Amino acid sequence: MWLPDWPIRRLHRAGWPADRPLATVETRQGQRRIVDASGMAQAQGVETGQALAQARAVCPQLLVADADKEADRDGLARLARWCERFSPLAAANPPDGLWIDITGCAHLAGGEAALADDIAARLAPSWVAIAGTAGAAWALARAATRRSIGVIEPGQERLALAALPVVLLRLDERVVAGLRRVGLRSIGELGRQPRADLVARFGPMPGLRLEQAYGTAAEAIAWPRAPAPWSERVAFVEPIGTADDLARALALLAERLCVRLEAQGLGGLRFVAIFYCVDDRRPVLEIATSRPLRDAARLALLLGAKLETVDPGFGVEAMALEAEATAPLALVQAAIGAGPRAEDLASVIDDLANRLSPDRLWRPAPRASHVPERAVTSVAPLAAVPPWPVPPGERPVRLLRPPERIEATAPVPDDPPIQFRWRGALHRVRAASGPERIAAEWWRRSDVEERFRDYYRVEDQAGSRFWLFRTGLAPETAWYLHGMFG
Amino acid sequence: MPPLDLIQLRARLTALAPPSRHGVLTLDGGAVDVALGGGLALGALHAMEGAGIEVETAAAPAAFLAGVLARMPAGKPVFWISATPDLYAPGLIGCGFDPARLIQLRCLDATEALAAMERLLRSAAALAVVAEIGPVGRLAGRRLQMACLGSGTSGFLLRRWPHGRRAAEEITAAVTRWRIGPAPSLRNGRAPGRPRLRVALLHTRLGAAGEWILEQEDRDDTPHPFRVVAGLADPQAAPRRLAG
Repeated sequence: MWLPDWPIRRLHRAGWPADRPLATVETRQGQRRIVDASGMAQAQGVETGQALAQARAVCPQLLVADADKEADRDGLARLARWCERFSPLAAANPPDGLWIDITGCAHLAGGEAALADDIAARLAPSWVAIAGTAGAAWALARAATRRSIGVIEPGQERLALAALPVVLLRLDERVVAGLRRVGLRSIGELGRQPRADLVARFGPMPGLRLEQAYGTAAEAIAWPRAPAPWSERVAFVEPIGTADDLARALALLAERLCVRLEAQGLGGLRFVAIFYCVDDRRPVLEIATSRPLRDAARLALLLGAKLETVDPGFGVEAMALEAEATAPLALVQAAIGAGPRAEDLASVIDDLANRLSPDRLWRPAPRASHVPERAVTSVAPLAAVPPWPVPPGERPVRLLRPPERIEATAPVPDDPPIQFRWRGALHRVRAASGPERIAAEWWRRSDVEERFRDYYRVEDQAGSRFWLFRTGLAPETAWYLHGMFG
Repeated sequence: MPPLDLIQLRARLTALAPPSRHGVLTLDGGAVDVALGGGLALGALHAMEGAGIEVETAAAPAAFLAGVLARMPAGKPVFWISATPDLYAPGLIGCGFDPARLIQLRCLDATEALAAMERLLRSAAALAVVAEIGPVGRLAGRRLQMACLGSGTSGFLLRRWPHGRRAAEEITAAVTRWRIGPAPSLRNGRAPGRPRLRVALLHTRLGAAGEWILEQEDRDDTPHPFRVVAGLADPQAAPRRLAG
């Protein structure tokens, strides 16, 4: 698909007035030159490559914007995403084109011609061509003059392209000029030349592009999204927007997807629901499960719980549900006459993880480190945990992260303090044991600059037990409270 | 009526209507269990709070709870819901609880914590659910208690107020209510001795309130997690107050 004057159209969409001539400029060799000009500007004599001053003289009311290749590219990528409503495979083809792979999608819109009409109407002015190869579609879209839509039947590429100029083969300017010089003007003429001579004079590109257009050589297009084999879509005649409708559509998609997954003995681990909104936004809902899931009702429930975060705006035109990751899941036969099965741990955990956030649910696991705050790591709630080693000394039930600085009175240098003040309250030490020296891991930076810590277990007058440590050498010692014993 | 008859009568009543349809867990095999009417009811909601600075830090209640959880039947995981994740798994080993059975959950506010707790209690997937939480409304407490009864999962509300600010006393639907604080240990020279807890049973539906100094049982051959060191009336244990 070809979108002529894309930079200009992007600016118009961004709010630049369409009723005045518009051009984009860039500074080239110290001079401001026109890069693109709108149709209105061109009609008044503004040309690409003209100096800005010259263009202003020809067309005094010309509006000028800076050329922004980055924004053009982003805009095109956004448009490509919007085009995913026609087919899951849509990619930007900078500077001014789009690829849409409609293989197997055309019947949804009532045939290829109808689909092309639909695309052209929604994105007018645009030139749409449908062909069996990307090269042929590219050439035809840009060759179309009167009709904005061209459809070639598979196998007819050679015929359709024969009369078109070689410019349409996506070759660089030097090669095109060279071909012109030797009198090769149309693609058909080029095709009749011996391939070896072409390669010798112009390099491999003309031959490759020709074969790609004819379909005898493969061409890879970088689609922004990997095609998900586990994808279900539904498009609506009228945009829908109420929560009930969205939930019903989700249930429908979940049902379809789960039936397909079941046929293959698979379950999904990660699901994404995509909402194609009328206003070009594309909110998504993502859920992850700890075990493969294929239960349509549960899937709909998990997604439905997050539905309120989706803002349908002016309505949702189409929805898709994809299983991004799958894993084998054996078929289970429900026992006859059995009541509802006891809810298993995995489904409760999934529910909570999706309602809160997966990182707020974890299982503590041991880590080989002597530094107390590093001795525990967190793993997924259903992951296997290695057996816990017996700690080298007594460890508190509560650990403060980071340790809190305290004012301690320790008259004898290597002794525990006799009293300390923490959070404004004074604690007199009744009993203490220690020190347990823990060396810092020198290869790591820690919250506290230190080489080692001397830990003491102290009990205050009320019987509260604390875990204190001293760091640094006298007289620059600092005391910290690191935890509380029960 | 002499106290012995009262105890016998209570035992007969307990036999007729056990304190919980999901069974009980004996705590010390003595005074505390008698006060509870047989033991700590499983599949029920219990509320615990700290004493003194423990209102904020909740270390002593956590240690007490770890001791209780350690003696509950293994198999299903224990969920621990908190807003500040300062629970330290290696410390639980010292209380006899294997942290491999623990799944932690961080909730940002009380609403979230209560919803998550109810969800877990209603499913039979967890052995017990602990929620560190400040205010619990009356209705929320009743919902949690009903959820416990239905599934047999035990619920523990570990009342914790950040910055030590405590709300006014609320009536919760918990079967038992406890206040747990530290108690001075029997010193071993200059070193602290075995940790002791001052445990007050403030309210129970089936037994009588009481207060004890408990020490954790370190022998594995007894089924009880704690040992009573002294009762409330014991002058050795009561904090001395001297007027002069």
